[in-house]
Amino acid sequence: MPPQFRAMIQAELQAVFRRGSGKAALVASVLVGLVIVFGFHQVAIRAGADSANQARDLFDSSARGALGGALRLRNFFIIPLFLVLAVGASVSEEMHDNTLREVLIRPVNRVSVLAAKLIALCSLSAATLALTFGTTLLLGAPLLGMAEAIDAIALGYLASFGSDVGLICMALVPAVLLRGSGPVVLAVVLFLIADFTLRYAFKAIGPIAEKFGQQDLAGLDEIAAYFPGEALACWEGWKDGFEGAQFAGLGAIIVICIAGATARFLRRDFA
Amino acid sequence: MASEALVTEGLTRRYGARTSLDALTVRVLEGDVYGFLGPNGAGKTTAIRCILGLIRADAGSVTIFGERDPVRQRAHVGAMVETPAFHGWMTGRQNLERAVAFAGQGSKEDIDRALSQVGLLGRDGEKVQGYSLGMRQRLGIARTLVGRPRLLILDEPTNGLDPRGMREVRDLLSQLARDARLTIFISSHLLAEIEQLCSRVGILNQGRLVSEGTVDELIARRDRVLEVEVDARPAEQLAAAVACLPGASLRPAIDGGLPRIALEGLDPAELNAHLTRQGLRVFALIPQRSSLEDVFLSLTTKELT
Repeated sequence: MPPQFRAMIQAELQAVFRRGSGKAALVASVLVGLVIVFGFHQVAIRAGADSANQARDLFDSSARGALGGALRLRNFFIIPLFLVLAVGASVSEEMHDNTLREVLIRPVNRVSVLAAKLIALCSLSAATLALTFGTTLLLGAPLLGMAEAIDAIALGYLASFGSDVGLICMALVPAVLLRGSGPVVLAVVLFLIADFTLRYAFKAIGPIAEKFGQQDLAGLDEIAAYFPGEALACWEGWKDGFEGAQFAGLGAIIVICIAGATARFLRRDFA
Repeated sequence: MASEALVTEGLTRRYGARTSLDALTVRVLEGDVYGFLGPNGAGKTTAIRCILGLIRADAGSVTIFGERDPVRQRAHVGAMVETPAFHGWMTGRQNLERAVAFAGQGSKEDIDRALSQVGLLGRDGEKVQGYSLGMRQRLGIARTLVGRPRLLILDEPTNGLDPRGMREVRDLLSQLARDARLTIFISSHLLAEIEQLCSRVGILNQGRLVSEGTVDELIARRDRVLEVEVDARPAEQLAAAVACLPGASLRPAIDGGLPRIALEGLDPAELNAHLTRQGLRVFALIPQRSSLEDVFLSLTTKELT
């Protein structure tokens, strides 16, 4: 890496955090925490007044539960969407408006430019997670109470960072191929929809086949475990235990996507 | 003897069957202000992109101040390719700070100096999206200066500037070459600008360097053109007389003026004697002063026809 790599990262951090997509991601992260805590608080109040602890039994309405709910809501699609937008803006949009060209005529190699962007984008993900976690915990603890330890959910946030990195790396591939943030977001969304559809189709085939005595199709549901979406959902293990295979898959996604995007980026002509 | 600032050897770039850059060999010496001329589509920008590593050359090499490594080369270079691009949502200064970060050299003082040199100090706190085309062009030039370069590579740097702005940029570049001892490689199709600014000129046509030298050398190399005041009626008589003299060719008269004859290795006295022998009365042979424009047009038109 060039000696100015640290300055490059700082410059990329400024760019990523000052862009609309970066600011929106940060604001949305705080909002997710606020919505969940106040939502849980309202439900808890009403549950307490109306039907004793019945409703409370349905879900964990402590700060721990709120942290889990916030993570679920955050990862549903809001923040990942902003992260993919940020990848598109940082790479594809800069290729489109030639601002990336202005960087590449400096004494830097292309790998270091891509690495600086990747680090800045991962930092954005970390910041969004920290904001959601911090907001939810700071407001949730006094309002909802801290009945249980939060180490498992904290690990869930950490796993979610890994999941974000995987998503960022996945978005990097269309970002070096397509022009503009819109096509990058569209490509990633379509890919994830296809992944989701196929994954659940395979999951459904197994039990159905077994029911109808088609033993040769019964094992098809195991294929679903090899889909990228399964690896990206590794954070869900905070409740029932993390699965090593999901993290291995995540690692594979990160390595393959970085290698593919870098190979294309190195060979690309810049007008 | 001045060392070589920029050398390209056999630089070639093809787009499918079309050769955009055909074995381009250019030598720019330290301290030169080298004008890179060519009609649209001649390959000037392709050459600059190859030199800067933005596009891959199919063959050939680039050496900058003796460096063969592209990254190290660019440590010596400040470049502006076509219309400079900026983050519109950043201020002018923030864009320059970003450039300094990636350059790995330069300071706040360098940014202030560059902004002052292009007349943007005081407007640098405004977002670039509010800048006019001329201001963006100036900011682009300022950006080339902030990384303490030894060689400036500028592609059409006066694009979008009004006549005053063009003169200011020209004066700035002259001053940088003179006072800061910068080597400047400038591509343009504004011939007057190149003629006034450059110590050496290369003319590119259809991807090939067709001529190179000082402006005076290029003009001297060009065919000598004479205006001929002659009693030739009908006019075809003159055409017939010139046609049978090797080394002479009739050129179209300009704006209904006198007939023009180009001489290639032929003395005007021989032309005079020949025309007289053909029964024409020659009153005057008036040498025409060639300009860089004449040289440019003759070289690039020849190649096209």
